[in-house]
Amino acid sequence: MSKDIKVALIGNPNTGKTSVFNRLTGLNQKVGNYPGITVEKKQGICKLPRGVRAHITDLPGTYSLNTTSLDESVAVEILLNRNAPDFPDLVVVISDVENLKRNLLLFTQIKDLRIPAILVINMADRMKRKGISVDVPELEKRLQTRVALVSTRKNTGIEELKAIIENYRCLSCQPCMDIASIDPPYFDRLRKAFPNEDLYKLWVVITQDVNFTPLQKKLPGGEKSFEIKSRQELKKLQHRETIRRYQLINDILKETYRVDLKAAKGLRAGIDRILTHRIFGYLIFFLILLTIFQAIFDWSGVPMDAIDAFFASASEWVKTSLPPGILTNLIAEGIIAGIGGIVIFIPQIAFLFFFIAILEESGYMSRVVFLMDRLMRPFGLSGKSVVPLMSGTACAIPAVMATRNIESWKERLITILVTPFMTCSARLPVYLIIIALVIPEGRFIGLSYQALALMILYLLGFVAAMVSAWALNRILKIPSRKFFMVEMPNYKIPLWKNVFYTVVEKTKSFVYGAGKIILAISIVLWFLGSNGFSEEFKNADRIVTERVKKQGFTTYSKNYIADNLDRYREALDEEGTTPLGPQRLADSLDARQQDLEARALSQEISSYRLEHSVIGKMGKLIEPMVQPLGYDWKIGIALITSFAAREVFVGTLATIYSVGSDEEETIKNRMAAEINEEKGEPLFNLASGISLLLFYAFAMQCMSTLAIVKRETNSWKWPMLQLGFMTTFAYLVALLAYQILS
Amino acid sequence: MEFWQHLLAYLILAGAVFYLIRKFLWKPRKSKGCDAGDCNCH
Repeated sequence: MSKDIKVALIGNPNTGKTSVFNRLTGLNQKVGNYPGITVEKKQGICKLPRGVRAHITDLPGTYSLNTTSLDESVAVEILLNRNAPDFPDLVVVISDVENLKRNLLLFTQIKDLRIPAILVINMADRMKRKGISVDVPELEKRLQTRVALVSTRKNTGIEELKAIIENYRCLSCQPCMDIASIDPPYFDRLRKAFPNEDLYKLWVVITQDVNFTPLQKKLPGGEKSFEIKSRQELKKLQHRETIRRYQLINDILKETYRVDLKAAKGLRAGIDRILTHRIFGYLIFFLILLTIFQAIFDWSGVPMDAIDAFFASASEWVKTSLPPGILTNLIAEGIIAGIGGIVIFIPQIAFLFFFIAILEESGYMSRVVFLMDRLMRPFGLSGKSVVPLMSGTACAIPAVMATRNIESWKERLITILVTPFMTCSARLPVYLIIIALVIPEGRFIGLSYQALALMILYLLGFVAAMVSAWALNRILKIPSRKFFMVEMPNYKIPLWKNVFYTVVEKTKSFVYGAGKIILAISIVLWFLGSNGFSEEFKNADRIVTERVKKQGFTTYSKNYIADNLDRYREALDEEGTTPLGPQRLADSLDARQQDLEARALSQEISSYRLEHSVIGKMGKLIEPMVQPLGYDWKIGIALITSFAAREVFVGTLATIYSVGSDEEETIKNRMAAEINEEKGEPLFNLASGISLLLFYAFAMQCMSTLAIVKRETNSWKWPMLQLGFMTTFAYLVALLAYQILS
Repeated sequence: MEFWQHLLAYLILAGAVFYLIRKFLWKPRKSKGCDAGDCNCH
């Protein structure tokens, strides 16, 4: 062989491409381990066994031929121009043994340019430690090329690589996939317009223009007119191409690439073995979840109480400082109460996202995805469904959108349909307030009952999602292909700046996103609760005063007066004012009783007025439906308004109770003071509380999620089925729970 | 004073109702070419 050959080295950043270049050429260059070190063209000469000289060019690192930067574009430009002096006889694609899937995307693209290409799997020395095995002959057969296992660190495989380079003429130039299959009519037109050009090369040139305008590439054939698709359409086709390539790569790697975690050695592998262990893995994950929920309750109590008290006093201040009138009442009872209903949950939501960000930053979340894949399979889901499901604990909307990377339509559809069962952050305010009201504050082996209750609700959402997925997997008759691959990042100490930004961004989006809706609904509700058209509403003062005169106060008011009077008497005793004499004491108690009776009367009037207001009438209409679940008409109203967004529930109740009460109390106290008029007991007791928690755990109370499901499935059929099933299921479970517990 | 209180209160109500309608019932169409499929820009 006399002719020198031109070889181009190409690969993803951080695959050790420059190290391979150094080993082949003997040139001494600096090699770093940060992305994008190779930003310029480097050349060297390699002497091959039979005296042939290979002129090797080290091209800049790139993830694919769809370039987005100048240095990536340099690499692609060389491969596209067969007349250029640097156009290679052979391309050597360098890959990293731990990230083969991602690296093969570039390899298949280069192969499709019909340039002889070989695959180098670098860092082969890590294979044993990571428990990786590669079936090289099978991989060569599937990719129609030669594969070299190389370790530049141990200097192994380099001579074999040189031999393969020397025999490059034996390599097949068959493409890996038919690019025309992504849009046959378009590629047919392209083929007719440029009959002498290679189709995939044309496609890369066209998309180069789409991705990277500064180069202003021209289609070969000069002035020939060809109707080019819009940028958006081309982008869509590019996405389709990438999906097809990954499907192909998944199929190839399924047969040729294995990771056996049991065989893996080293610290990271050791930690992986424990964290992804069949038993310990789940146990550790369960303990981490428990710790998170415990911390949410234990650490956020103080700031929450402070926020609650602040809004109560702000409301009081507005009422006493501003001139009396409709606007003052709207601000004090509608706006402040509504905003307070959402701001109070900032500490708990911030803590939740703080822990989630730490899990993601440390690399543990990927292990959870891997761990859960085993659990997902029997339910018709894959490990890829875990990411949307985990995202669903923040919000179902981005979670439903995150299902787009699930290749199988059936798995994707099932994931979309079950994701809303996951406990999203909008459910958190509802859970927190109800748990605080109905679950006692005691502890069990150091864990508070309230934290346990919250964790059970999270698990319940997950179990509901899994059971539904299992059922859907059997019901839906959609043919599908199943595969799962996940890249495990190295463990690292979380970057606190990133954690901080995540917490701030998520909390801000929760407060601003939900806050605006809650504020608007609170304002509308206040108007509906403060206005009425019936005679009862207009004459509420007279009617209630006459009723109290004739029949006396209601049981609740009697208890309210008696309790407060007892407390007052006890306070006087403690202060030692009784020695002043029995007459003074009696006068003081008398004055206090009159004051309390006036307050009770005012409260009964407010309550009566609310009952006969517009919202009261609406609530009474739906009361027969919600009564069997242990709810009154006020909760019924909150159920309706929270269909816009779940977190509106607390704001609604805060507004309704604020309108119906003259006392400036905290939200929790207002809710705790509510009485079931029929039974004369607290409205929020264990039975009604559990019933409400279960209703919110399963009901599809989110208009935005329905809209996004419609968009992702391109049909109203699935969101409507989802709404019908989840709401019916939630109603039945809540009904059952209340009837059993009450 | 009462007049201004009423005016401001009802203006706030109108704003809230308008916001809710825009949010849930009537949404302006997004620009062409972006609303049809998964162009990854949402």
